[in-house]
Amino acid sequence: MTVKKWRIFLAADVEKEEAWLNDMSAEGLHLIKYRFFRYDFEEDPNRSYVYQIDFQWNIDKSYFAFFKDAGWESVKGMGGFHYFRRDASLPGQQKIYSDSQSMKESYKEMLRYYMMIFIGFLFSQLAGLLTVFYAPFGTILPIVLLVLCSSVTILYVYLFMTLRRKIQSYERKEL
Amino acid sequence: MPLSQSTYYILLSLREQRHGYSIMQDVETISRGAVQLGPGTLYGALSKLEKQGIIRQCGEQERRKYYELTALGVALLKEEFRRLEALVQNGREIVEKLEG
Repeated sequence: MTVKKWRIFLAADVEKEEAWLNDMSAEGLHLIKYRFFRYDFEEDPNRSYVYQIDFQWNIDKSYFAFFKDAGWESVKGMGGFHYFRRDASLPGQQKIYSDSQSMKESYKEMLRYYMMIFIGFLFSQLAGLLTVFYAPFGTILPIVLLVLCSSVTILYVYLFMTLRRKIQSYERKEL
Repeated sequence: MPLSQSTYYILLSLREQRHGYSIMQDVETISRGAVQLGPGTLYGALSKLEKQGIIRQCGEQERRKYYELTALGVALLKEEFRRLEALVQNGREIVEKLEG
């Protein structure tokens, strides 16, 4: 039987997301697919998995072959976020990032990625935003556009701040 | 720049051509079980080291990429080994005389 759950996790909260997936799996619900905030779980009380999420947006086929070799089964995710799991009872490394330096690098990669998307977004809206200043007073559409762009900008700035905080917390661990 | 523990062991394991999982296994062996690399850590490290010209791809088999050290990589590893050796030597007498 498949159980569906809806959750929103920010990019900086992948570790919280992993913890949630691990708790679910310990209770017998194992993630088999993720898509647009929707998590599909398969029920089986007799098994338990460790879930890990990797962020990589520039990968080739060798990436999945490598994780498979290392004992990690790929679960269908989306975008640059790749979900992996392995049997919780197996010995060996339970984390796909074994030191804080590489964990930090991964968050930096996320930050770079979202900054690129954000800059792309700003450029795509530039023409529209310029009309705000040239439109006759009282026109509703440019105002809607302005509110929309501002909301997206606030969301991205918040995302950048949370990612920056994560990176800094890992930098402190390196000392 | 001192190498990270993971990078140091990855370069040691590339004394011969290896693919990702083979590096993981070798690092665990040569570190006597002390270092178990995660695949995320290793994947990131390999692409970074390749970009820096410290290692290079030398083949692909069944979707597995094989890597080897470049001349720069060998030089870097030797330099790091000498640095670590000096660290231990310089500290040896002092630490051995410490009480407690």
